[in-house]
Amino acid sequence: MSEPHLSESADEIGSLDQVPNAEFVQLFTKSQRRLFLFILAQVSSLTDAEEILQDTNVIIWSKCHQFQLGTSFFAWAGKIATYEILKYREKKRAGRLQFSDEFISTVAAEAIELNDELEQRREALSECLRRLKADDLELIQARYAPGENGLKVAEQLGRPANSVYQSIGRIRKVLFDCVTRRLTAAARTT
Amino acid sequence: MTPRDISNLSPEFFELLEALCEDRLDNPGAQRLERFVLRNVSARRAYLAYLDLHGTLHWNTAFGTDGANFEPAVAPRLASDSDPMRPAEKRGMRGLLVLAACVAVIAGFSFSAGRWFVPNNDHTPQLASDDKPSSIQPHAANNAEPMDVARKQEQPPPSQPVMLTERPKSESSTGETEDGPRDLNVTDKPKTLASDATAQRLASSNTVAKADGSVQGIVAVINEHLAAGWKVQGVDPSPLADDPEWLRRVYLDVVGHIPAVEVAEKFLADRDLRKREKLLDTLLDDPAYIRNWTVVWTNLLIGRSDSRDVNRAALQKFLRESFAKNRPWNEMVAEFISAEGSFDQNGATNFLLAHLNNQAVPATAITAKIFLGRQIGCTQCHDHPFNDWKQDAFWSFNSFFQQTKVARVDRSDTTGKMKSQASALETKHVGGPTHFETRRGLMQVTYPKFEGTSINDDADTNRRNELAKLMTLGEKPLVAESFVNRIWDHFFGCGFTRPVDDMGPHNPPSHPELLDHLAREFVASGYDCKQLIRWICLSDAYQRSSRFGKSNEQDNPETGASPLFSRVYVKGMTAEQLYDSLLVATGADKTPLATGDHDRRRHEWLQQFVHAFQTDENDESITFESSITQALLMMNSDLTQQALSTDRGTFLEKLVNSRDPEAEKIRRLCLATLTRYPTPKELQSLRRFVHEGATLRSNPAGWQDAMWAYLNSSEFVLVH
Repeated sequence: MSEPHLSESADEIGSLDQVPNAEFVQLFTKSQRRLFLFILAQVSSLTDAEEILQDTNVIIWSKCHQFQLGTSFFAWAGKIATYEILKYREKKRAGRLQFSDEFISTVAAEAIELNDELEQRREALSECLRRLKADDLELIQARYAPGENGLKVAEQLGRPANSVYQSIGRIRKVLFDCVTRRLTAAARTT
Repeated sequence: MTPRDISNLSPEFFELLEALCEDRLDNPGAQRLERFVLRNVSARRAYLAYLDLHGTLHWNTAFGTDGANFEPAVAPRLASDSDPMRPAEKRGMRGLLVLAACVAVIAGFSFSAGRWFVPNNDHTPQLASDDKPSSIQPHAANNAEPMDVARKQEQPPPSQPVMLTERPKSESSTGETEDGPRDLNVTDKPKTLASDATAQRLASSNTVAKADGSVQGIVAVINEHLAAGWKVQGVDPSPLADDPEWLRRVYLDVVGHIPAVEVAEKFLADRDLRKREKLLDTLLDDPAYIRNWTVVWTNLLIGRSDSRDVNRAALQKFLRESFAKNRPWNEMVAEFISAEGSFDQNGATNFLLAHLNNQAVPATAITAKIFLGRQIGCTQCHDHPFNDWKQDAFWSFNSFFQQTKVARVDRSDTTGKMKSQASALETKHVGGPTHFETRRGLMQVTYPKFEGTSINDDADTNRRNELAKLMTLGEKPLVAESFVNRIWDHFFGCGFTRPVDDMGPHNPPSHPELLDHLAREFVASGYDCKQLIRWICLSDAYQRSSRFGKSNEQDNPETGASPLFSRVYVKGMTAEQLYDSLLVATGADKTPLATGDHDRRRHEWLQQFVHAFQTDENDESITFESSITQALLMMNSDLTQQALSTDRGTFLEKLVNSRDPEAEKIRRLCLATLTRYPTPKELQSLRRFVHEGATLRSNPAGWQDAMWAYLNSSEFVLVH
């Protein structure tokens, strides 16, 4: 806990020694991916989203006693995340700021609205991955291996970056379309 | 979100999303993306879904698919130091997220980075897209979609002077028009030349369509239909292609390689008004026609890969003999469907032998796709929402293949010793229904039925014979319509439907009446493949240039627009076309060193690009990207060396040793590789180039560099 940005929030953290109960831990762990994706939709950068999630988790953990079991964990945690996103954007305002406040709030609202569909899409994705061609699978695997991005993958493969971006983009679109199709098909048959 | 919502979104939107995912989005891009998302609810949802996919892929590599649902068994803090393989740490994530991850480890989940990547062969056709650079448009430098630009950059960077490969661009920057001078001899003074007069005559003859079944009559119908489309859409067609452009294209399309330099010289000098028709007749009778279509159909029928248990040579023999005799297409289809016997003695058996695995599911799907232009693969498991084939129809079609058995036959030599085994197609005398399972797990039965016609399902009826008859029956069966569509696509770079083999009410053709007319005429001609090619190659549209102007730039099927055929769309050469064209240009196979069978060498060379899948449609992927460097590098090295060597027999050897003046040599070099003469500018820079090479190293080196540069140009690897 020696990170500077963590100690910044130390005053609001309260006691870190408080050990949350098992149900809280379960809700916490269950919500991690969804929280990450909720944040990602608003900041668009994987590394930034990870960092914000981390900061959010520290707050969630420290405030665990404030959470009332039986209420929506995600609604509660999402508010904390939104606050962290705000702080992050404040920090970034000096530098490059990509999207407007209006955009962020619109996207955040829509993300909550769309949650069920997005959840179904996440389920369908694993099936679509299974159906990828071996070569495509390998490439997308390389792209999402820890610490990687398209540029690094291109360097490793010795292929021009643009051609790798092209291929990765194509595979992502294939997956995206596959997921959409599966959902549509499922909706029609059930 | 439905597929329709998504297809209504502009390609630019998805390109912006892609840039965002790879951290490549600049501020103007971000603003564009923001506008899409704020203004359009579909875009907003697609944005969220796309980033969600991106994030899920990222998340799942680190935390496993079940990251959303894992159940902690122990309080998290106790777990924090216990796991040796913390992937989260690898990516520099610290703090409580690591705790969360550890919880899951203890709960028994694996965190291997590849967890969600479960490769298996259950690979469906709709995912099988490839990287074929069909959107490359050499003349689209100014108005290219970002996609096209990226594709262009995929071409290997020219190691040689840029002006060679970027010619069209440098021309337009000097203010010349897009169809400006292509060469010294021909287009500088087009009005006086026979070439253009020929094209004009071809294009304007038969202003009144005669539906009399003659070549002219049918060509006129094609012209009328396409011109009507241009008029409605307010599009001016591209100018007529000059002789060099047309010559190169018709060679590649009909016989599968570029014309040899002597052929080009003769054709360009010919003043005969009917020379295009004459050339087409020659090409249709050329042995290379047989070879080319044998390659095309072998690839469609059994793929390029060697992995299946088929006798490729026997299939090719069957195809060669059939194309040599110009056998009617319906007869050939019937042979493939009803073939019996061993794979060496009856080459036609190899189509089904390649696909009878897995309850003949691939055979069902592939037969429908190749011969009927219908993609029914998904209906195997469920009714398809966008397809008129239902699950029941898939299995009634499949039922026709259920009597078919693959047998092994021993082959012995003359002394009676067993030498080898052959596969064979046999018919079992069994009858009755075919069973299949619905998605709800219900067992269903169905009987052999094709397009509403049932046949006797007893054991004595040979179902494949019946199917062969049903498929090729009538005035306009699917077999004819889908063949016309496929051949049209072969020549124009785009069919009446996209994809060419996914026809049906869910995907209406761009020119339904024309397709209908051509299919009927094709049947009436007795399924005459050469006639169909004549109609297409002599049509006005096929005489057009692949270059386009302001008025028809939107006629670009790559953007999802319905094709108008106001220009000929550019296609990448296939691996076989590239290989053969290289040999024609360089004479690499004429040296005393080049031995052995040409087809076998090419096939072996191809194997490095091909990967086959045992899927429901027995897909295979080809990693070949129409890039000449790749081709040359991967080509077996003897041949590569010979291609640019000055060994006896090669093109370069003849060029270097000829007594022609230098300018003449450069003209020949350009003609041999790009089938056109060089522009004045090109000539000038090439002269300098040849001199430099010669001074720096040796006399042939300058010429070798020049040829290498030409072969490296995108103009060489594209069919335009």
